[in-house]
Amino acid sequence: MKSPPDGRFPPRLAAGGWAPLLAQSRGGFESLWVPGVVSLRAGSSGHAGPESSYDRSDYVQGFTTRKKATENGRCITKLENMGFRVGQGLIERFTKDTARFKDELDIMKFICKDFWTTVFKKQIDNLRTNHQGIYVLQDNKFRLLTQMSAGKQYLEHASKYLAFTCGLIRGGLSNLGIKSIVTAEVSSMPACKFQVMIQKL
Amino acid sequence: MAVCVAVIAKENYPLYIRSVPTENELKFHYMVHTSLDVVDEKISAMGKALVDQRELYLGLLYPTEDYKLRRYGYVTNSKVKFVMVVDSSNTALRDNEIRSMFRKLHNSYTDVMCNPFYNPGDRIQSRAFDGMVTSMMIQVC
Repeated sequence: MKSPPDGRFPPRLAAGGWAPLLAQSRGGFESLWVPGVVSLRAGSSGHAGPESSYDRSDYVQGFTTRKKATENGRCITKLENMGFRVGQGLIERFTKDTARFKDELDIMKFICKDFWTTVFKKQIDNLRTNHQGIYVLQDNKFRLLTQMSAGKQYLEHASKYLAFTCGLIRGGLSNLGIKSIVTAEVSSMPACKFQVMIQKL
Repeated sequence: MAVCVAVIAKENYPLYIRSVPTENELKFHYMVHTSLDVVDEKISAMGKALVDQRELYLGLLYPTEDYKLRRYGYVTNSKVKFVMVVDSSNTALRDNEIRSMFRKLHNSYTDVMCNPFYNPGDRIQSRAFDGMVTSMMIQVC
């Protein structure tokens, strides 16, 4: 894994407060990037293999245990930003051969069906909208949460694992020309709901 | 063989523009700039046009009196536009060849997008992309 040619890391990462973390642990940063991003890219035919989701949960855990609980919010933001960038690249690859999208609902249906199938090997179970820019995507068996026990024990930790996927959706939508805010909530494992709020410019 | 290839971002500024270094390149830059209006018009008229509005390839943008240089357009789903100026004096290029050239461009652009060290919105500086465009450009002897 090469480091960037001029030694500086991309400005988006530096602005998000990565710089001090990077300065102290260059090797650590590279090992964080390799499992999540490279293994998602490796499925160049469009199919992210099952191993990529397990790699992601490993590094989510490794990443969050390094920081104290008080910096949990910053961790989640960083994970979401990473998901954003990955989502942009993924959407470019997946929409290469699809027809042009007619409207917003068409784009959301694409995210629910093709995008989710290619990344998580299943479709979104339920899509609801109020036709005023709010969409709720419900997944009853979210792949990143199936490995955790289906009770109340890990409910508060589940949001860490959803942050990357929220960024993924937000990045994909932004590349298709839709600015949005994506949040996730878990009421009972392993089901989760992603709420997408479209921001009209 | 292409004479000028340009990749324009969603916000209508060039991410990559390269032309055959013969006369003033400014002429090609100007041509690409004027074609942007035509591209926008074609996309917005999609709903009413009889043409298959689900396609990404736009075809010949507009007829000019200068029959040698033709401009072709292609818009991706992420609103990134590719404009190509082609010199058709040597060989009559068929539609399929132009489509395959745009396909290659789109594939290389996707690879650039997935590069984690590339920030979307920056100028494209990838050597692989340059190599692919060189293979498409006219051989100036």
